[in-house]
Amino acid sequence: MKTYKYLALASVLALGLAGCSDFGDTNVNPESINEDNVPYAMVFSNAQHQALGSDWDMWRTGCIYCEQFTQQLVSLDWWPYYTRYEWSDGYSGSYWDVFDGDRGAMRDVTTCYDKWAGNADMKIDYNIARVMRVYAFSKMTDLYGDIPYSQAGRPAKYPYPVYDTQESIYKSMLAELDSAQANLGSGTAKMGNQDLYYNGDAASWKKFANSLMLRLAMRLVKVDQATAKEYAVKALANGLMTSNSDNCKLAHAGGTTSNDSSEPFAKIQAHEDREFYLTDGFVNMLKGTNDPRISLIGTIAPSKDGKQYTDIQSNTGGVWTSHDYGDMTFASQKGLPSGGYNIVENSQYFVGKVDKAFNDSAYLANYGRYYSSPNRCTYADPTGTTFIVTYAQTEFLLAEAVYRGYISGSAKAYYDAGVKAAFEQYSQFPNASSAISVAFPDGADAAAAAYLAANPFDNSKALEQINTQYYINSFGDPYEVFSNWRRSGYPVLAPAPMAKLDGECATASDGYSIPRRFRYPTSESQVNATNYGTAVGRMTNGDTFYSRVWWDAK
Amino acid sequence: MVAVCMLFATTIFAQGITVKGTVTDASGEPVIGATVKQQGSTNGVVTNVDGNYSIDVPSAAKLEISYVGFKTQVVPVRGRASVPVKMQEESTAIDEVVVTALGIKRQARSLGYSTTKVDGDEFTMARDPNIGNALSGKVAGVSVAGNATGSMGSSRVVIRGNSSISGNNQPLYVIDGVPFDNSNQGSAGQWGGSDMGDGLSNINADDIESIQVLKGAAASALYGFRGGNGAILITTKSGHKGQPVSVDVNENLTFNNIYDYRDWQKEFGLGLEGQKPTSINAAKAGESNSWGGYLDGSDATNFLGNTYKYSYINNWKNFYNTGVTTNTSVAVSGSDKDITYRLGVYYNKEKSILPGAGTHQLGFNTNTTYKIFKNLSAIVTANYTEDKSNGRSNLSDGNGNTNASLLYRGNSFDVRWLKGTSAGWGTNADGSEMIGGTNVYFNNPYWLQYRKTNDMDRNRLTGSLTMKWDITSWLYLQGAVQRDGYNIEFRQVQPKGAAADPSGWLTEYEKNFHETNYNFLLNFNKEFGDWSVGASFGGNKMYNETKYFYTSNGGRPFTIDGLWSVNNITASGQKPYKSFVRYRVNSLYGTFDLGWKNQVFLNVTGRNDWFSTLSPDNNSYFYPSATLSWVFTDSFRKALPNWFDFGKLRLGYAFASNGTSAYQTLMYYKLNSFTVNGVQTATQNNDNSYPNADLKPVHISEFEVGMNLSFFQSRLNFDMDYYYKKTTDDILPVSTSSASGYGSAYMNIGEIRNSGFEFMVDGYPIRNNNFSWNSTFNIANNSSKVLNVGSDTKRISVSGGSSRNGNVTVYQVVGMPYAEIIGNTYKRNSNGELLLKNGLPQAGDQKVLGNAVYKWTGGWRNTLSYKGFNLSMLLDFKFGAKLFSGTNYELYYYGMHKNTLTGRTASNPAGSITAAGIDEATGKANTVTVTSQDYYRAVCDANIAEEFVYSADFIKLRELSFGYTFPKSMLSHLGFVKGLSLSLVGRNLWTILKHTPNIDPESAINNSNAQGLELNGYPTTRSVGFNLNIKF
Repeated sequence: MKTYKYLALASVLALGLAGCSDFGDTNVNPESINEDNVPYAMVFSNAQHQALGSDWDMWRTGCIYCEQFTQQLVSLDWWPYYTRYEWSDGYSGSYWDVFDGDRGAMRDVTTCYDKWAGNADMKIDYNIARVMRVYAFSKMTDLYGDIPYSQAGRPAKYPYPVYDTQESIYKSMLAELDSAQANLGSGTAKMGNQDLYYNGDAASWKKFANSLMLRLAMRLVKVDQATAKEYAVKALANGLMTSNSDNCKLAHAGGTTSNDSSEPFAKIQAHEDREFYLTDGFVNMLKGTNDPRISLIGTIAPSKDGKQYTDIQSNTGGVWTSHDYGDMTFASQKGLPSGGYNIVENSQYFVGKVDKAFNDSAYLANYGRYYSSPNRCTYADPTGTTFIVTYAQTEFLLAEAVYRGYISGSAKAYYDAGVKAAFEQYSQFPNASSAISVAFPDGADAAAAAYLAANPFDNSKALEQINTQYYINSFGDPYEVFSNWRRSGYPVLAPAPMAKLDGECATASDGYSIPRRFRYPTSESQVNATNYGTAVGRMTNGDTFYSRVWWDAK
Repeated sequence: MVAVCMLFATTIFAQGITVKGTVTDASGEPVIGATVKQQGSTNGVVTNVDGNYSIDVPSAAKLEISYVGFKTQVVPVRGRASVPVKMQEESTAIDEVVVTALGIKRQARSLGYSTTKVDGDEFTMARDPNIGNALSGKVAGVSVAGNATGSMGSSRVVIRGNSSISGNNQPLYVIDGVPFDNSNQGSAGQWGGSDMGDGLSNINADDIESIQVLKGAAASALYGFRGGNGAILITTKSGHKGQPVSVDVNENLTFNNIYDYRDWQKEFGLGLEGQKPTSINAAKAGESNSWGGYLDGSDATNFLGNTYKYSYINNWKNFYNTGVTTNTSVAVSGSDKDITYRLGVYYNKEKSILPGAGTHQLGFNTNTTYKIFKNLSAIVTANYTEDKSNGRSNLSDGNGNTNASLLYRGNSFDVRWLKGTSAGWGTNADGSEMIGGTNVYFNNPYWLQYRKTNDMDRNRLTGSLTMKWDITSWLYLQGAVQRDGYNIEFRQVQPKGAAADPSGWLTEYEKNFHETNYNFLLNFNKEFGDWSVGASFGGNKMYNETKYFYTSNGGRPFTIDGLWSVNNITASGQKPYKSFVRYRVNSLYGTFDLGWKNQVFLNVTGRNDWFSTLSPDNNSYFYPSATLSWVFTDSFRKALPNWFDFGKLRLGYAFASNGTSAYQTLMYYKLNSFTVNGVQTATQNNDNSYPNADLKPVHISEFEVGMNLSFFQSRLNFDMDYYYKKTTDDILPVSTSSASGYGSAYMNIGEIRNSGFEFMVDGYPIRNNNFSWNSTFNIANNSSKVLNVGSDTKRISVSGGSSRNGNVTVYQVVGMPYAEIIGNTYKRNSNGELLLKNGLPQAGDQKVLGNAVYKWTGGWRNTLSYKGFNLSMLLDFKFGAKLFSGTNYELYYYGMHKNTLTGRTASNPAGSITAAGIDEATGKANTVTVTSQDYYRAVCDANIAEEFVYSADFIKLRELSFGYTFPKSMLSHLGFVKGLSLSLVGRNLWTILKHTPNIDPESAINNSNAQGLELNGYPTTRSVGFNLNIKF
């Protein structure tokens, strides 16, 4: 008995005395993927997906700002302040958020880039990552100007990265693309179908790399003709996209608006009642040239209680059905004034001042049913396609390159090919057939031919025509529309008259004009103050909407 | 302890006699279970239920009578057959033996640091269901932030200031030697949420023998990695040696009524711009506004189209109930030859003031010692509770917040209109939520309480088995296995038909937590002439694990109406997940005590911790302490006057820590919850904070100096101390440039210091056989300064410290005290005049509007006893903090605040205000007149937080009890009843001083580090009831 009791004591003590053993993998979370077992290809997919923008930035920097600045869309109910160029830190900085967090495209692409570099087995994957990294950073620098680039997305070494000048970023990006396209070779990347754009096909990436190179080269026409020309020539020689089947795009089959699986621009359009409508300027531009694409871009959406019917989340998980398509006919399309107006009756900004119909209270209450919003078979389809770089854009840029004497050839031929491609491109929207049958009853090619016959290329208006086509073809990618408008100056857009009345952000010294860049998020001025300060010091107007990015010289 | 107390006196062999007597306390009541021992021998007995003893001793012997809480007396027998003994209560400072870190018992006089003991009966009368809240005002330097959340809520107890910039600031809780997890199970933040309670509400006040508060690092250094915030040691009641079987029954019943702090305008009713609603549309548009017409009792139209009299309605009265709390506890305790035991059971039930809400709690407690063998005993302690609660309301943000849905109803809106169909659950005929306006986030309170459900079940077992081997009278060895664990099942259902969530949603999870500690301790105590030497050596292995199993985290939609189960949610909408957090800490520790002539004591301790949470190259940390105690009155006894009983100086210096968290050193990834074109993507899973492989634990060092003084036979006692505590290497998610890929990175960079003093005086202005008056007053001051937060901005926002409204955030600012409230001021010119635009105020710069931490805390208790009557009263107070009141912001916006009456009259209900100030455009005095609604809404729209920051100072009458203990003589008629007392008790009875209109200054959105923010809190309740105690 006594032995038993001492044994009991001893066993308790033994438990206590077992001492300081090795902790093993106690500090490894058994329920989470970690650095040792994460498939980096999936991380790369996240970068590919998020670099295009999610509804987070597409709503804010994309639609509230870029779309309203470039006057393709306008929101009278929700976002009139921003049509008067008022600044919001969160909205201006929302694309910047692609740097970190779950979106973290810049970080995730850089992680894969660093991980795969120097690994012979991952040669194609690495070169794809190089192209991808350039694409993502080019969007960022085009919006903000000087940005962290060489040190960005590398938190272990650079918690407070320096801002590289846009000039150096562009030179680096162009060289990087040239090198990547040369090293891509042929075959399929290890990541295979995790590559959301081309399923790992090296040849397609090569064409995309060169088409992107042409885009970035042509960005420089105002500041560095020599480099612009050098890389335009290279891009052409290396091999560009040659048909719509080469388009760089991301499909969203099965996308729903309840998460990030949907097409982001479409998700915004399917999101709220009476949010964004086509502007009268955009509608008139299309109608004025009898452009049948208007039936693919706009629709008079069906209404419910006087409002647009947008309730597709609880409907079919984010799929429009035919009764949601609305009236897509050419004649019915109508745009809203986009001069900085609102729908508040007593307000100095009241839209009734310029569109008398709004002075009728019944009309005002139900105005949503009379105006065009983005077409639900195409740009407002959450299961639709995001176009990243298109064959049509490439042809338009080549037309301009010829016009500028960078390359030889026929500007008209490139232009015509671009228009034709732009018309044909709609078939790449998965649910566009109803709209296509309205827009192109005799087929896209016939419609394009008729359109070109009625609106032939005119070399004296080459830049305007080319870039107007670019503006139309890039609808749905507001960042690219804003960049190409700043680069080319076309289409000519008048600043919102109400911005002058408001004067909150746009001032006399800026001519109350349309903003030229986005402000850095305030957090950078606080957290990364030194590097931020250096970058701001390089800008003539400081960190404002009215400083210009390097390539956007006056 | 036995070894310390035992004196090896020479036994006198002489003729034996039988001595009998009764041991009584100061009031003449018998002391049951007191030990009566022949001094210097092992011959001893214990008093029975009547306080009587009988012992055979030599006639020249001395009797040593001892009992917990009383001074040990030595009485010479001198041949008497009857020796009555009157015990005197022990004075803390002088002779008491106290429980210190790791359960080591030491003489109070030898301690070189500050510690305060609170007796269990201080928690049983005017009780708070949360023991943490019940500490309020009782201990100098212990700041309690009680959030009025009923028995379901949590407490925030902070000792000697906040020593971590962003980590845990609450002390370690230990119950009978077992570390007790007091994590908050969830709290509200900027976007709402509920206070899900903490662990302390699982402890029944009737089971508490005492609570020992170890305030500083010197006292808690032996807890090493988690001693940095002090420790609170809870000792449960146990049986006493020789005590016969006794049964203790306690019944506590209180009624909880709303302490209504509202003081808003009742002159203008529901509506906008001075208009009384006369149409359904106007009634709906004005639902949550009191900018309407003058309340003249005329006919108005409500949202249902019904006509009603336009007059003020008190919706709180029409909606809230009287809360009822009952607590019944029964305990059986006693002893036999080899066992002392106590078994307690209690049942606690609260019907909340919120309709349909309440708690049930059933608990068992035991503390039993069994002497297995002569020198070997087993001690079993266990505390088991199961509780169920339902109907918790959201706090903070209005959506889901029952109180918010009542607060801002237009003044003439009768909430009972929203009862809806006959069940009164706030539904329309089709079962959907009936709302009174157009804002789907302004809920129907009946829907929230009856349809939207919120249930939590918890089982908790905290217990230990300790084997103690008394090797000799001066050496013992003990080993223990200790476990604290609980299991929570939580389920929240928003049924189909909610106005804001028509498809409904479900959150359901099970949480499993447990911590196991295995430890041993070898303890040595011996005296060598003038010297006493004590030493101990021990070790501990700790394993801590938390798992969550979510069947659904906000999954939706429900398919079939009425079945609120995860099985009724489409597979793609279920959102299940699991989380698993675990860590280990291994420790070795030792102490060395040296005493000289029972006057001077040196105590040195050391503990080394090894952390699983840190890199193996970098995971060992040492925490030493050294304290010195000098009873100078003993040294200068002859020079001091008689009335100067006792004086002690103490000095301490120690290092401790605050622990680390699991998984902060490694990169994690996660699969995104969606696919893109059918392809799975993955990204970081470190909450956007870059991990740090080289993390160290937080380092806290503290110096303290103090003094105990006692005069006039302990009728006047002082305890005072000063401390200086510095935290370095605090682990912060330091803001990094988002361009790095992460918004923050974990770094050992935070530094903060706290210093302050504590003062306590305890006295008996009157003390005689029939009447005594005890008065205890304590006050403490804390000042803090943030020294480093590691980012360019010199400030870091406090997690969860952003207000839902008013654009206010709580920051840690370098060079400033802990928790600064920062928000917009009014835009003014250099003369301080308002700069107006179109007659409306504008926001100026963001500034520090105040500090959220109280500088001064304290309490004052007075206890009057006359024969069997007892009156006790506790006032507590806090001064020197500010509060941003989101409720008052909303009351401005909705035209309910009294200030919004400015400009409004019965004949001009829309009001007109020509604000005093300068028109910014013209530079001249403002001449633009605006309506009252436009003016006050402009204050809110511009988020001028300055308007809503108030002093949070208060003085409250926290506890009051008046009781009568029936004397023995009266009870003799009742036969088996050995004791009976009845008390009238009250809690939170009177707020004597406050500066916050419409709200309780203690109201807060949560009990986290984000102090200083208030919005839509539960109404505070005032509890009044009875406490009945019967002993058999």
